[in-house]
Amino acid sequence: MRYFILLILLLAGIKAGTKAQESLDGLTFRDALGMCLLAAGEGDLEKAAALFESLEEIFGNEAEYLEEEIQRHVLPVKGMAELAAGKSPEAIDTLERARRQFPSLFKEKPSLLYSLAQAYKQNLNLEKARKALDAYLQQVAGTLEAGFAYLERADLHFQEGLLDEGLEGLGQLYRSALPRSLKLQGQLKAVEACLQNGRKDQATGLILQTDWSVSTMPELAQLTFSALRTAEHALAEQRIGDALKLFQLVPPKKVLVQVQRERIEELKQSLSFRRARRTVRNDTHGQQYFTQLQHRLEQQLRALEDAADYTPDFYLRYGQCLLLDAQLHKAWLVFEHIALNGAYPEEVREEAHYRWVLAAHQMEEWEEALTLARNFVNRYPNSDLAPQALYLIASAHLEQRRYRESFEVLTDLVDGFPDHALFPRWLFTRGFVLVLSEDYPPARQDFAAYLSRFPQGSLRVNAGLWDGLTYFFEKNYATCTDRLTTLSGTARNHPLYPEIQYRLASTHYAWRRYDEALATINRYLGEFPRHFRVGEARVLKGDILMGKGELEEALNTFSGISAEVGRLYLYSVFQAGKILRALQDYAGMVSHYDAFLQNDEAPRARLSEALFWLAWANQQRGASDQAFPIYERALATYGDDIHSAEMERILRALQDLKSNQVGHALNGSSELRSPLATAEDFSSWILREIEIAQQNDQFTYYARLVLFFIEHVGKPETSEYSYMALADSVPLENMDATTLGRMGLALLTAGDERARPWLEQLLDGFPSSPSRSMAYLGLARLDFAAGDYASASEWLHASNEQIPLHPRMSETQLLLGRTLSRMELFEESIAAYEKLLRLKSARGRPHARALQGIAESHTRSGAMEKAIAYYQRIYNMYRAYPDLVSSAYWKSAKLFEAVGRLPEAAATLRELLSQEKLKGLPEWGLAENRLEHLVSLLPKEPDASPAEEKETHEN
Amino acid sequence: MKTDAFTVSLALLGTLVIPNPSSLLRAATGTLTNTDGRQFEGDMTVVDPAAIRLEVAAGAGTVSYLFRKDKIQSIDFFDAEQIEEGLEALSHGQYEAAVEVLKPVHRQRSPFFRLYPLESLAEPSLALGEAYFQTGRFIEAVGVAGTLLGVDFAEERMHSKANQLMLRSFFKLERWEETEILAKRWCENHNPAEDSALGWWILGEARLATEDWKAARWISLLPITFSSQYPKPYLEQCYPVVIQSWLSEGNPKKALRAYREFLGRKLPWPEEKAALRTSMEEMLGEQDQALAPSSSEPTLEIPQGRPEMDLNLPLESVRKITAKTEISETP
Repeated sequence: MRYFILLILLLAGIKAGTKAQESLDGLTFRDALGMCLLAAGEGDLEKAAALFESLEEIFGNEAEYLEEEIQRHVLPVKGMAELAAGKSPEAIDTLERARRQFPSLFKEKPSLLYSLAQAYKQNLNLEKARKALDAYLQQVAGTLEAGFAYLERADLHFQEGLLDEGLEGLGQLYRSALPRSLKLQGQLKAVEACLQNGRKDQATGLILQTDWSVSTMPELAQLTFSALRTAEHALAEQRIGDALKLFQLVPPKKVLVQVQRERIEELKQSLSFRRARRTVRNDTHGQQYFTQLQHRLEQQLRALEDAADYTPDFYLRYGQCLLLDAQLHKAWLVFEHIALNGAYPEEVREEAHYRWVLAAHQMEEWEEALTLARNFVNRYPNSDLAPQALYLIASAHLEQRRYRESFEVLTDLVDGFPDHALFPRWLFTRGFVLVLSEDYPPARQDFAAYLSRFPQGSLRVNAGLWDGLTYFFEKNYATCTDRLTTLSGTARNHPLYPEIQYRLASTHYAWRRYDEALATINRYLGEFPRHFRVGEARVLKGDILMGKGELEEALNTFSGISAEVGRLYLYSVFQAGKILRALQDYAGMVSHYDAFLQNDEAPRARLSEALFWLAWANQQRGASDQAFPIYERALATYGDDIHSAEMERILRALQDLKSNQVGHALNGSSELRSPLATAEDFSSWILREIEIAQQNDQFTYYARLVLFFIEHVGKPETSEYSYMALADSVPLENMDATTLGRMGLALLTAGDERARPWLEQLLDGFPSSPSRSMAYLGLARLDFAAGDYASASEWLHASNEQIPLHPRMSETQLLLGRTLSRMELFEESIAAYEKLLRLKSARGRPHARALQGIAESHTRSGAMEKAIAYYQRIYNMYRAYPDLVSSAYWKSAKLFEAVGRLPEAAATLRELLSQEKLKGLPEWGLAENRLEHLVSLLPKEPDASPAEEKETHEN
Repeated sequence: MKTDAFTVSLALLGTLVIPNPSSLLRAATGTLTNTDGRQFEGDMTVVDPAAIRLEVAAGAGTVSYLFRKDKIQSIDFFDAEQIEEGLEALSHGQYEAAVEVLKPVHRQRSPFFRLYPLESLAEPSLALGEAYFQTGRFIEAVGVAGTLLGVDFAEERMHSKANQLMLRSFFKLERWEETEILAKRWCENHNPAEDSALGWWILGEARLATEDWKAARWISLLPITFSSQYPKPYLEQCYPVVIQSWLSEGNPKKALRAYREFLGRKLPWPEEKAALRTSMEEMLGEQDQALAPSSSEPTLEIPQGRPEMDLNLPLESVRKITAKTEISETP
C-alpha cells in the first residue's frame, strides 16, 4: 500500500515529505488525488477519508476520476480510509463498489474482503460481515490470517446468537493445521460461549478434551476462570475425576498474575518485532489482531489484580474433590493449608478446618482426628458444623474403644440438637456405644427411640439388628430370635439381610436349637456363598453339627476349611481335634495334628498346643514312648518362646505322665532316650531342667519352670525357689504373660513395690493375652489400696470389657463391687455383685462374698432393711463358710439395732451364739457382750408362756 | 543474609574448600576508574575491606597506587570474553569447558565481592557453581555457593540461587545432616503453590534415606498437591519419593495409583530412578482395582482390645505442612 502511494506521489510530481492540505480547493485532479493519498500515507485516515469524499464530490463525474485504472487503485484506499475513520456506511459503499467493478482485485487482495467485513461489523450488519469473512476465509485458507478470521467469524456467530454455527466454525479451526496458539484461542472462545449460553456440559467437555499449553498460551486468566467454572459444574455433577483435571488448570492468583504479566511482556516484544519487520501484504490483519489481544489481556490483568482473591475458595473446592476421590493425604494438606492461613477469609478457614477433620477421620488417624476436631470446636464453638465435629470426636473415641467418653459426647449431641439432620445417626451410634459398653437396656431404648421416630431411616435395619443382638448378649435367645426373625421378614432386600441370617443361625446355636441352626446356616451358605462371613459360617456349621452330635459330619466340615482363612482355620483344626478326642480316635488325632504341624501354609500359631495334643494322643494310644519326646520337643522348641501359651499345660501333662509311669517298667527304646522317662521322678527332672535353663540363659523357660515348681511341685516359700527369688533373677522383659500376671499378684500380696511395673509390663507387652486380667486386677488392687477408686474402677471395667471370661472373674467382680461402693455408686456396685451371682462358676464362697458386698452397699446407702435381708441369706445358705456366717450374724444384728428392732437384734445374736462352730471367731465375744446389753434394754418377758398358764388352770 | 551459626559455617566452608592463597592478596588485572574520571590499568588487589591496591608496570619496576573505596568510580576486569565463552559453554551443556574457563574468572573476582557485592560481578561464579555441579564436583560447588552466601548482596536472587546450589550439592554428597537442615530451611521460606519443588523433594529423599516412609510421603506430596499444569521445577522428582514410600510400607496399590497419576501428567521420569520405574511398569499390568473409598457404614463387629489412651495431642504435633504459611493464632 505504501509503495503504491509513493508511486502515485511520484506520478503526481509531489515530493515526498510534503504535508497533505486540508482542502482540495483549487487543485487539479492529480494534485487532489495526491493529497488524498498523502493524507492516507501520513496515517491521518480521518482526514484522508474526508479528502477522498471531497475528491469524489469535485471530480466524481470527470473522466479522469472515472478511469478504470484510477478507480481500481483509489476505491480500495478510499474504502479503507473510511473504515479506519469509523465511517462504516461510506466504507461499505466504497468497497462494495470496488468489489462489483473489480472482483478480481478482491481475489488478489483478500485483505479488502477483511476490511469489508470489518465495515459491515462496525455497521452492525453482522450477517453480511460474516459472509464477507467467509469469502475472506476461502481466499486465505491455510494461512495465519485464516486463523484470525475463524476467531472473528465465531465472534459474529455468537453475537448473532448462532451458537452451534459458531462452535462448528471453531471446531474447524481446532481440526485445522493452523498454529496451535490460534486453535487454543478458538477453544477458549468456544468454552466461553457455551458457558454464557448455559451449556455447561458442553463447555466442560470442550475444556477437558483440549490439550492446553499453559506454558505458551497468553490467555491464562480466561482459561483459569473457565476452568474454575467448569470444575464447579463437574463437582456439582459428582464427576470428581473431571473436576480434578480441571482444577489442574487453575493456579493461585499470585502465580496467575505473575505469569500473565510475563505473557503480556512476551506479546509486546513479539508485536514490536513484527512492526519492525513489517511485510506488505497481510500484516495489517495480524497486527490488528495481536494489538487487540494485548489490549484485552491488559484489561483482564487489571481486572484480575483488582478482583478479590479466588484462591481460598478454589482450594476449598479442590480439597473437597480430593476428599471425595479418597486422595486423603492431599486433601489433608490442602485443608491444613487453608485452615491455618491467617490471610484467608474466616468462613473458608472454618469450612476447611472441618474438612481437615474429615480427612483425618477417613484416614483412620484417630488421635489426630480427635486433636483436630477438638481444635475446631474450641475455635468455632458456634459454627453450624460444630455438632458434626463433636460427632467426629465421639467417633474417634469409639474407634479407640473409649466408650464412656464417646457416650458422653453423643449424649451432649442428642440432648443439645434434637432437630439436627444427623440426630438419627447420633441416636443409633449412642445405642451402639451402649452395646459395646454392655449396657443393654439403655441401648435398646435408643434403638427403640430410633425406630419409633425414624421408621424409614437409613439405619432402621442396623438398629433392629443390634436391638436383637442385645438380647443375644444377655443370653435371652428367645427374644433375640423373635426380633431377628421379624426383622428378617422386613429386610429381605436389604444389604444386611445375609448378616441377619448368620446371626439367627448363631442365636439358634447358642440356644441349642441345633436343627433350626443348621437349617438357617445351610440356607445362608446356599444363598450367600460370597458373603464376608462365609468362613465363620462354615465354622459355625461345624459347631452346630457337633452340638447335634453328628461328629463325623462336623469333622468333615471342619476339615474342609482351608488355611487361607487364618484364625478360623486354626479354630477348625482344634475343633476337629476335639471331635477326634471325643470319638477316642487317637490315631486320627495323631495324624490330624501331625498334618497341621507339617502344613507350611497354615498360620504358625498354637503350635505348642498342637504338640501337646499330639503327645497326649500318643499317650492315650499307649504310646507313651512317643508322647514323652513330643512333649519334650514342644518344651525344647517353645519353652523359651515368650509368646507360646501352652507350657504350663505341657508341664502338667508331663507331671501326670511321670506319675503314671512310676512303678511301670520302661518299654520302647524312645523312652530310654527321654530324660523325663529316665528321671527318678518329676521333681528331680524339673529341678534339672531349671538348672539347664539357667545355665543356657533361657530366662523365659527358667521362669516358667520355677513358677510351675513353686505352684505345683515344691513347698511354698522354699528359700531357693520363691516368687521373690524369681523376681530377683529374671529380667522383666523375659517373662511371658502368665508369669508376669502370677508374679505381679504374688509381689502385690507380699507388698513388694515391684508389683506395679510387672503388671504394667503384662499390659504393654501382651496386649492381646487373656492373662491381662491379672494385670487389671492387680493394678486395681494397688489403686484401691491407695484410695484412687476411680482409677481402680477403670482397670476393672477394662478387664470386664476386654476379657469377659477368665479365672479371676470372682476376685475382679468383688473388687469392682467394693470399689464402686467406696465411690458411693451403690446401684452400680450392687449390679457388679449381681453379675457375679449370675456366674455359675462362682458358686460357693464367691457368691457368699457377693451377697456380703451387696449388704455392705445397702448399708452404706442407708437401706438397712435390705442389707439385713442379704446378711440373712448368707447365714442361711452358706453355712460352709463360718467366717462369713459369723460376720453376717453380727452385722445384721447391728443393723437391727440401728433400725430400733432390738428383739430381732437379740434373736440374731442368740442364733449366732447357738452355733458351736462359730465359737472361735472374733464375733463370738462381741456377740456375747452385746446380747447382754440388749437384754438389759428389752422389756422383761412374762414368767410363763401362755401354754404353761393353761396347764396351771387345768390343774 | 542470615547470620546464624550454620550459614556462617557454610560460608567459611566455601572459602576453605577451594584451596587458594589468601584472597586478600590475589591480584586481578583490570581497569580502575577513580572519581575524577582517571583510568588506571594494572593488577588490582583488595588490601582491606575498603581499599584496592593497583600496581602498574613502570619501566623495570612497578608503581603502586592505593585507592579507598569512596574514591573509586568503577572497576572492570579483562575477562568479558572468557565469561561469554564460559556462559556459552554452560548453555550448550559443555560443563567441563565451562569450568575450565570460569574457574579463573571466579578466582580473580571473588576477593572483590565484599567490596562490591554486585550481582553482575558474581554472576560468573554462580555459573561456575552450576558447572561444577553438573560435572559431579559437588564439593567445589558447595565451595562456590558458600563463597556467595558469605557476601551481603543487595539482590535476594544471588542468595536464593546459592542456597539452591548448596542444597543440591549436599544432597548429592549424601551429607544428610546438612541436607536436612538446608532443605528444612528452604521449605520454611518457600511456598509449595508458588515456588519450585526442590526443597520438598530433597527433604523427602532425606527421610527416605532414614526409612521414615510416612514423613517422606507427607513432605513430597506437598508440592504435588499444590501443583497444576503450570511448570514446577523438580516436581517430577517428588513422585518417585511418594511411590517408594508406599512400596516400602508394603502398599503397592497406593504406589501404583501414584504412578498412574504421574503418567497422566506427562512429566519426565528421573533417570536415576530407572529401576523403580521398571518395577512400576511391571506392576501396571497386574493390578487394576481402583482404591475403594472407605465406607461410612456402621461396623458389624465388636472391637477387641483395651481402650487406647487419650493422648490429648496439641495441634502443632499433628501438622504436616513444611512450608511458609501465614499462621494465625489458634486456641
